[in-house]
Parts: sequence; C-alpha cells; structure tokens
Amino acid sequence: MRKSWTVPPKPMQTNRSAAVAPLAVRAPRRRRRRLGERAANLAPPILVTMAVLVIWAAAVRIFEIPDYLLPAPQAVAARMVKEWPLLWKHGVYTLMSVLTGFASGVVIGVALACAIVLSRGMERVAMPFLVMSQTIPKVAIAPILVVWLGFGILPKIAIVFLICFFPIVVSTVVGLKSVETDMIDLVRSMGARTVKIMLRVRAPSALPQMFAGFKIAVCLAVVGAIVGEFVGSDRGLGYLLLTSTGTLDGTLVWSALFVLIAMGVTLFAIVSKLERLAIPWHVSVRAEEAAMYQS
Amino acid sequence: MTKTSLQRACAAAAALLLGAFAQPAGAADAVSFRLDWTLSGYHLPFYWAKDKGYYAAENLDVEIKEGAGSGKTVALMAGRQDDIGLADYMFMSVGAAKGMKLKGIFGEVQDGAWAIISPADRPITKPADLIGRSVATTADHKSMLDLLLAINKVPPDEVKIQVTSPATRNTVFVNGQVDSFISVVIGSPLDLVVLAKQGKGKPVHFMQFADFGIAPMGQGVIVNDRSIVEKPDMLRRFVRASARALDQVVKPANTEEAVNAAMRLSGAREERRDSVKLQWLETVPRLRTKNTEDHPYGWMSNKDWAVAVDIFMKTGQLDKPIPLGSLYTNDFVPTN
Repeated sequence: MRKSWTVPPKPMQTNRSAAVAPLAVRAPRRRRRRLGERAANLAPPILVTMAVLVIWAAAVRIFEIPDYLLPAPQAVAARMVKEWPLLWKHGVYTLMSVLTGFASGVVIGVALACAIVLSRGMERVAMPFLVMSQTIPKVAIAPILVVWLGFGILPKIAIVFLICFFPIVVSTVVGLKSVETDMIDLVRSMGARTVKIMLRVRAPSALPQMFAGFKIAVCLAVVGAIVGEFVGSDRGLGYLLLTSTGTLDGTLVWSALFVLIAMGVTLFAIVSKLERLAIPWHVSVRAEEAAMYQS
Repeated sequence: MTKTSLQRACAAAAALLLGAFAQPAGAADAVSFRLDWTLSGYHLPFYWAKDKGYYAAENLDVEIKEGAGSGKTVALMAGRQDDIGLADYMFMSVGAAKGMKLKGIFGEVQDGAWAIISPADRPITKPADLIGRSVATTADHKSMLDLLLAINKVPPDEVKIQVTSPATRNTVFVNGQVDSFISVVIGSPLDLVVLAKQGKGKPVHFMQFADFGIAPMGQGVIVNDRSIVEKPDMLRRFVRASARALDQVVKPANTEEAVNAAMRLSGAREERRDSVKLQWLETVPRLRTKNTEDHPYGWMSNKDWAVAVDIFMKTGQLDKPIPLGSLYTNDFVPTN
C-alpha cells in the first residue's frame, strides 16, 4: 500500500555536525522572528497613542481650550521634564504605599483564602464579613482611617490593603476549590496530608486564578493609594494632584496623572510577567506564545 | 365625527399641549445660585431675601444651592453650571488669571478674614511660629497659606503642611494630629469657639492674616462674563434684592429672625445655630473697608482690588498683572 505523508518525514541525521547545524541555524532565526513579532504587536498601540496625542493637540489649538481645563500634550511633556525631580519624589512615596499595601493584601489574602478552603466554619464566618467590607466605599472610610491612624503612610497602606484584599481572596478561593475531587482523593489515598495536598495539588492548580486576582488588585492598589492621599497627606502623587488642581495648574495635574498611569501599567506588566514565569504551562500563556510564533 | 368637529378637536388638543409647555406671561426667571459652602453666617442675607419674597418681588425664582468650597464654585461658574455664584474673590482672581471668564458683581464681605487657628494653650501668634509645626489645609486653601508664608518669608519646607479633605480638617485639629489649620474666620472655626464656650472643647487662638501683610478681598457674588452680556436685567434684579436683604439683616434687631430663616431654608442641623449667628456677627464689621464705607453695601473699591492683585503678583501666584476692570464691576450695585 502506498504511504501518504501529511507531514514530510525528516531526513535521517548521519553525522553529528549535520545534526547540530540545523539547531544552531534555527536559534537565531527564531530569536529574529520573536523580535519581529514583538515589534509587530507593539506597533498598533503605539500608533493609536500617537494618533490620540495628535488629535488632542489639534483639539486644544482649534477650540482654544484653556490650560486649566486641558493643556496641550507638548506642554504636559515639557512640564514633566522640568518637574521630574518633584514627580519622582512624590511618585516614590505613592509607590511605597502601593507595593506595601498590595504585598500585605497578597500575603493575608492568600492565607485567609487557604483557611476558608480548609475550614467550612471559617468560610461561613469570614465570607459575609468579606463581602460587607467590600461594599463599604473606600472614599467614605478613608477620612476615618486618617483620623485613627494619622497623616503618615499607614492610612494609605491600610486603604490599599482594603481595596485589593477582596479580589485576591475571592480569586484564590475559587482557584483552590477548582481542583477535581478525584485528584484530591487519589493523593489522599497515597497518604498525603492536608498541607501537602494544599502545596502540591491545590496551589499549582489555583495559580491561574490567583494571578488573575493579582492583576486586578495591583491596578486597584494605585487607586487606593490616591484615595488615601486625597483625604490627608503631605506628599505623594495624590497630594500633588490635589494641590495643583487647587491652583488650576493644568500641566502639573496631567503630568502627575501620566506618572500614575505609567505606574499602574508597569505594575500590571510586572505581574503579567511573573504569571508567565510561574505558569508557563497554562493554556492562556501557551496560547499567547503560540500566537506570537505563528508564521 | 364631521370634518369640522375633528378640526376643532385637533385645535383644542394642540392648544392644551402648547399650554402645558408654554410659560405664562410674566413667569419668574429661574435662577440657580451656588454658594461657596454649607450654611455660613455670611449667607444670611440671601436666605432672608428668599424667605421675605425679595427675589419673588423681582420676578426671580431663586434656588439656593450649597457649595463645596470656593474653588469648586469658581469652577462651576466657569463652566456655566449655575447662573450665579458666591465665592471668595481671591480664588476667582486666580481663576480669571488662568482664563476663566468670571467677574465679581457684588462684594459682600470686603475685608477677607483668613486666619491660622491654633489651640489657645499653644498658640501660633506669628507666621514664624509655624516653623517646625504642622498646619492642616484643604487643597483649595493651600494657595492662601503659600501666600502667608511667602509674604512673611517663612520657608515652606520648614512647615509641615498637611492637605486634608474638608471633612477631616477640623477633626484632625481637635484630635491634636496637627498644631493648627488655616481657614476663613467667619466660617467653621467659629464652631470650635462655640464648643469651647459650651465647655465641650478647648479655646482657640486666631492669628489673622490682615495683621501680617495680607488684606485680601472676601466673598462676593460672581457671574460668568457671558451672563453679563445675555442676562444683565436678571443680574440687576438679583443684586437689587440681595442688597435690600443685606440692608435689613445688618440691623441687630433682625439677627435672630435671619438666623431662623437661614436654618429653616438650608436644613442645617440645630447644633449649628449658635455658630451661624456668631459667624454673622463676625461678618458685619467686614462688609466694608475704609475705601467703601461711604458707599452702598456691595460696592467695591479699585484700591482694595489693587491690593489683592498685588499680593498675588508679589508672591508669584500670578504671572502677569490682570486688568482690574476684568475682575469686577459695580454696574449692578444699586446706587441708593
């Protein structure tokens, strides 16, 4: 019977150098293709951003929009360059409260989620309070926290923690519970204890949902830091936004806003990168990589 | 149904519909009047005018709305979100310098009453006392604090300036989390004076800006320049009614009645009554300056405005001088 090949068979490798050469040739070609694909992926958002900036500049000029309402993008850029030390100083303060609050949210949130998964009683007690805490507007509770905790960085960290704690707990609980019970029963039958089941079975399976929660939480963390600074502060990007709004300093307002946006986007990108490193096997990461390497 | 009767029925229906939407001849002009804050003593004349029907007599249906700071009222007026506003003229001046088309048409409080408020047992008696100590300010008021420090050559880096929301400012001061705060004297700081008199709080000390080189304009009626072009008659009637009310409310015999009317119309909490009355009593001596004492209430002096603008120029808050004529007009102030 005649064989039909859907994929041509590879030629047999008769000597070592012939076996090595194709690999050595393929690696740089793959790297070049990867860089090209990355550049192609970045081009659309860069082009759209440039188009938005051009339209913005044109609108300010054509409609003679006053500076205090909407300054021209070139004026904002010039101001960012001029006030960079000020923006850096306040940005670092805000970043500290974001990172500290977010890290606290991750540690305590994941721990609480594990406790909820392991104990039905804990779930019945904790979940209603979690939901209640989420429904309290942070803008309403922020002044109370300032009165209780003062003007330092502590109330800002507390607000960041409160705002990003909930998505972390919920996503982690969903992830930890999503393991098939057959798998749990199997490893339990092999003598695995609760802690080992949590670490070796539940946790790896929960990582995709956990990272989804972390990505949401890290963006909310930036919002929480600003809310805290709006209510009571002597530094930070929120303080800068408030005081420059009060003096109708449009270019400084937008400079601070852009720094905030850059902070949020960068933190999101870092968490996404950590996700790719932690769960390279997950379908979302593999699909993204496959889409990048398709010719 | 015949054709004629059908036509009559349609005409009647159309008349009914038009009548539902059309204003009857001589209907009052609806006016949205935005204050600068929640009920304060210097708002009494406007509530009196509404309560006694002075606005209605001028064919105006005035809705008095509370504000959330002069800065916000100035921004609302720049965007024509309200017809008429009441705000601190110093904030309006900064807005006008940035391009906002606003003008003062009735200067109610002409001797601006800014102060640093501190505990009486640890008072801030002069600007230099702020060095090494903390002062709470709302974002809107920070520019006035910067003015005080600049005029008196106090390095701002050596003062711990805490920007707070309006909701927390007085609370953090009472809790001892800051050494002082900045405010208009004829506003909420007098709540603390009343509490101290009632034995519910500690006495406070007022370090007046006027004693240290800053004699700013105070609160007054502001409008958008386009309103002056499009609705001058409405503005004239509003100012006339407000001036008439002010002439009545300044009489000591009418103080209690004015407070009652304002409390009732604004829905303010009863605990604020004594403070509102005290705020008004503190306002009365500030309604005129020595440059306007021979003129009707609300009439503004070029000299007072020049002093206010000069303060901004000296401290760099204004890049270039503003023509005074672009900031205010006395055209609407009644001459009698």
